[in-house]
Order: sequence, then structure tokens, then C-alpha cells
Amino acid sequence: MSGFNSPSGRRDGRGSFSDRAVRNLCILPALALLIAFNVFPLLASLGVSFTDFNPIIDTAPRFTGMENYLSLVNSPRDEVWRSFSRTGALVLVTVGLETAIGFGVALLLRSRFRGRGLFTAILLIPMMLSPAVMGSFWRYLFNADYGALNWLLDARWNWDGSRALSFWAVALAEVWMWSPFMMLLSLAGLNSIPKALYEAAEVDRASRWLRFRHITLPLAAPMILLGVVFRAMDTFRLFDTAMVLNGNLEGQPTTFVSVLLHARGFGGSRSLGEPTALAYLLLIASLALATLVLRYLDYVRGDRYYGRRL
Amino acid sequence: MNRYRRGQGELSESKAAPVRALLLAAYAMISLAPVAYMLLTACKVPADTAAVPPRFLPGLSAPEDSFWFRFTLANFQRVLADAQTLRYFFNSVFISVCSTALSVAIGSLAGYGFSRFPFRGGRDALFFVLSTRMLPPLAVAVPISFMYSRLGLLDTRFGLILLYTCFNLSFATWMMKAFIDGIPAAYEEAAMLDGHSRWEAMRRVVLPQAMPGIAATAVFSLISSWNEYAFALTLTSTDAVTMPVRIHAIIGDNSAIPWGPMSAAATLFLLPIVFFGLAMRKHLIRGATFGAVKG
Repeated sequence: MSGFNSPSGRRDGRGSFSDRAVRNLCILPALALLIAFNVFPLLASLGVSFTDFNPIIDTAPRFTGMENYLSLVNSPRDEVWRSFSRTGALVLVTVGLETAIGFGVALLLRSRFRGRGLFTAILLIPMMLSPAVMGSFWRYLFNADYGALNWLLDARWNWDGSRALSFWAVALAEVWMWSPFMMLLSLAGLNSIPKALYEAAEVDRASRWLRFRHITLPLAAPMILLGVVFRAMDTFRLFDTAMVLNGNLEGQPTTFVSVLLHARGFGGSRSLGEPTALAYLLLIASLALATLVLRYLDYVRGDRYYGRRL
Repeated sequence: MNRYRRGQGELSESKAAPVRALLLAAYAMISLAPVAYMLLTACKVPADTAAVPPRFLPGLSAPEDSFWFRFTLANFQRVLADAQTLRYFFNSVFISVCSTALSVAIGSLAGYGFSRFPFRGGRDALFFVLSTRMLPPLAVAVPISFMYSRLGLLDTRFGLILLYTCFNLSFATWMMKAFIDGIPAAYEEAAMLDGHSRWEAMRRVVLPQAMPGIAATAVFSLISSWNEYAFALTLTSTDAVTMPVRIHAIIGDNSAIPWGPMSAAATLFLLPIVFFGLAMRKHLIRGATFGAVKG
């Protein structure tokens, strides 16, 4: 610690005491906070997931082994599996639409025009907004009797309630909010394509389709794919929009994994063992997705932060 | 006949431009319509919010079967006169600003540490740190709410600040590490050879150059905590409630939902962050894409 303010003591190599002290001083506050508020609760809940712990009833928790997990996994017709498949369906639908719309708009935005920067920024507004707040307002637009959407469609569809439409209501709100994100990454992908390739294609009199298929698409793909994995991960843990639009009742088309967790984990007098086990299933799936995202992010950014000499 | 060659049927650039402009304008209108309609709904009297057809033209009177509604600012007055809403608004501002400041400060330090003193397993430690940002809030909320009830942190601003700090911290550490990597260590080493302490070298040499990274981290952190809902919903009840929870609660279980006041509250809550986001758009883009897009 004393080496922290002394002017000498760092020329003598990386392993010296003062450098190590500085490093620890820098890193420890962050690690301490992360351990206290992320690692510790997660480990604690890992323990709870093997018991029948119940915070309301004041009895000692009983160790039940894998029982919570087995009861979750072994009931294929159960709500848990359905919540996972609903979440998967939502990921496919929304990320697919967001990618198509985002890439399409990015293609339109490619050519330069006056005010393009500001226009692009204005298109990004939806993703700056709070999903919970916008979701609350979407309920007004989705209202069966006087909602603007039904009026536009000249329909009297019941968007809320337990109709299958509530799934599409959530999907619509999500696609609206996050297509700009895919547009952003598509634009970045398109901007990374060297102009010279198009000039060469021009010389060869390649058709527009050929240029698109063999230059635009493959070269913009890494960035777009990065956006896709980001969005897949985010949609996988979706909570706000579904909760705000349709509440946390079980058995709804919008009871996604996070929503089910909220219903069971904060539902009152039940044992916390099963909800924490469910949380762990969600965690494992999310961590797998997150690892994928991070490795891919590293690849797209094209630089290796570690192992590089200073 | 060769489809790989440029044919006669293709639109020329000059003919394609108006089509493109039209499509872009249509997309912008559809994309902004919900927000615009929210601004309009905030200015409606209760009778006009539930009218069919929906009324979206501000006027002085509202004839039957027209699109006109009676323009009023009463909803804003009502929201601004409501002490509880104002308190929750203050909570939102206070919590997001404090947690952003804390996470940027602690995260910059940690980023510096990870960048300048590589150690074995550091890369994995960093991946671990960032992956906590990607955890589903609900998977962590159950154990955290239990821990908070033991520590007396439930429903306190301090509790939410700590939690948001943690979630932004992982991102901040990772972003700042990447940024500081781009600043040559030779500058600080030169400063230290001149007799400056490492602390001074950090403050005078690294900090100014790391400002774009700090801005990107801060903007993204601020927007995420400003908009956060899941933790605020599960960990607060009366004292530390933030605006996203409050605004959804306005809808409540009413049969006659007060759409006007709800929209007014939502408008007041969204406008600052939209202006902020537009002003800092370059930094926002960089932050929201985890540095993948330079902005």
C-alpha cells in the first residue's frame, strides 16, 4: 500500500509489490461489490435450490437433494417447459422480425443525404425508452374497445386477456422497440464494407443482386449476427414488457420464463426451493447464451485484450 | 439473359432515391407514432381518451365522430401537483445518477487495473464480470430480495443504488478496460519517470484520454438504470419506488383507466432521457453495442 504514492518502484518489473498493490486497490472495490451482490446471492440461492426452504413458515429448511430440479425437468407437460418454449418462440419471432426490419431500414439509410445523422438518431428513440413505461402505454393502443390499433386494423381483437393475441402484442411492442438496435448494427456492418469492392464489381458490370449477394451480405453479416445474439440473449430474459402488458398469471401465452419466476418466486407462501431451482435453469441457459455473445463480440471487435504486451 | 450482369430492368440511382425517401419517411412515422400519440393523449380530457374513433387532433371542442379532442394541460398539472409522483420522480433521478456515478468511478479504476496489470486468469475474470451484466434480473431477484430483507435494504434508495451500481459496474469495468487498453502505457510511464506518482499519472494522463469511454459508459448506465423495472418492482413497495413502477401502477386495476394522467407522467419521465440520449447519441451508440459500433 505504501508504494501507491511513491514516485519510484514500478520500473523494477511487473511482479513488484507496489504494482500488485495498485492493481489490487484498483480491482478490489469492483470485485467486492460484484461478489457481495451477484456471486453471494447466487451461491446462497444455489444452496436454497436443494432444500424446501420457506421464508414464511419458520421451520428449519430440509435438504431435499435434486428433488426440486427433478420435479421441474420431469414434468414435460408442465408450465415450466411451456414457459421455455414460449420464450423460444418469442425469441425466434421478434429477433427475426427485428433483423429483417433493421437490415431493411439500414439498406435504405445507406446513401448519404442531408440530415442523415440526426434522422438516424431520431429513429433510435424507441430503444432509449423504458419498456415498462412504453408497455403501459401500449395497453392503451391495444385496448379492445377504443384502442388505436384496432381502429387502424378495423378490427375488434382482444389483445389483452388470455387470447393468443397477447403473445403478438408483446412481440409487436418488442419489435417496435428493438428494430432500431438491429438497424444500428446493420448500418455498422454496411459501413465497414470497403468501397473498392463495389467499384471492382462495377468494372465487372456485376448485377445489383450479385453485388448484394456476394459483397453486401457476407461482409455485413458478422455485425448483424452480433446484433442477433445480443437480441436473442435479451429477449430470452424478457420480463418488463410481458409483465406490464399481461401480468404474471400462469398459463398465459405471455408467461415467459422470467414472468413465471416472478409469479412463483414472489407469489407468497410457497417454498423458495423450486423457484430458485427454476432460476438456476434460466441462469444456466442465459450464461450459455452470454458466453456465446461475449466470445462472438470479441471476435467481431477483432482485438484481443488479454495477452497483449503493454 | 445473364442474371449476373447488370440488366435493363434495374432502377437507376436517381429513380430509386424518391422511393427510398418515401419508405424511410413511412418507417419513421410508424416508429414514432406511439410516442407522438402518447404526447397527444397526455393532453386529453378523460372523456376523449376512450372515444371511438381515437382522437388525435388537438382542438378546442370535440364534435361527435371526429378526430378532434379537447386540448388540456390539466393532466400535467395533476401529475406535478401529486407529491407522491414527484417523490418517485426524484427517486428515479437520484438513484440513476448516484448509481451511474459510482459504477463509472469504481469501474474505471477496475478497468485500469485489468488493463495495466494483466494477470493469469484475468481474461476469464473479465468475462465473468461482464457475464453478470447479462444475467436475467429475475433469476437474481429472489435471492437478493431475501438478502435485502435480512439487511434492511428492502425499499430503500440506497439498496437500489447498490444494486444498479453492481449491474452497471460489470459493464463499466469491461468498457473502461477496452478503452484504457487503447491508451499507450508509455505516456504514464513517462509521467512517472518525471517523478509523478501513479495516481497523478492516472488522473492527468489516462483520465483525459479515457473521457470518450467514460461518456459511453455513463450514458448507457444512466439510461439502463433510469428505465430499470424488474428490480424496482420486486425490491420496493412505498419509499424507494421509481417512475417505471409508478407509471404502471397508475393503470392499476381501475375499470376506468386514467390514460391522460398516465401519459402525462410517462411524457415527463421520457422527455429528459430522450433529449439526453439524442444529445449524447454517439456515446449512447457505443455503449449500447458494448463498444462494437464506434458511434
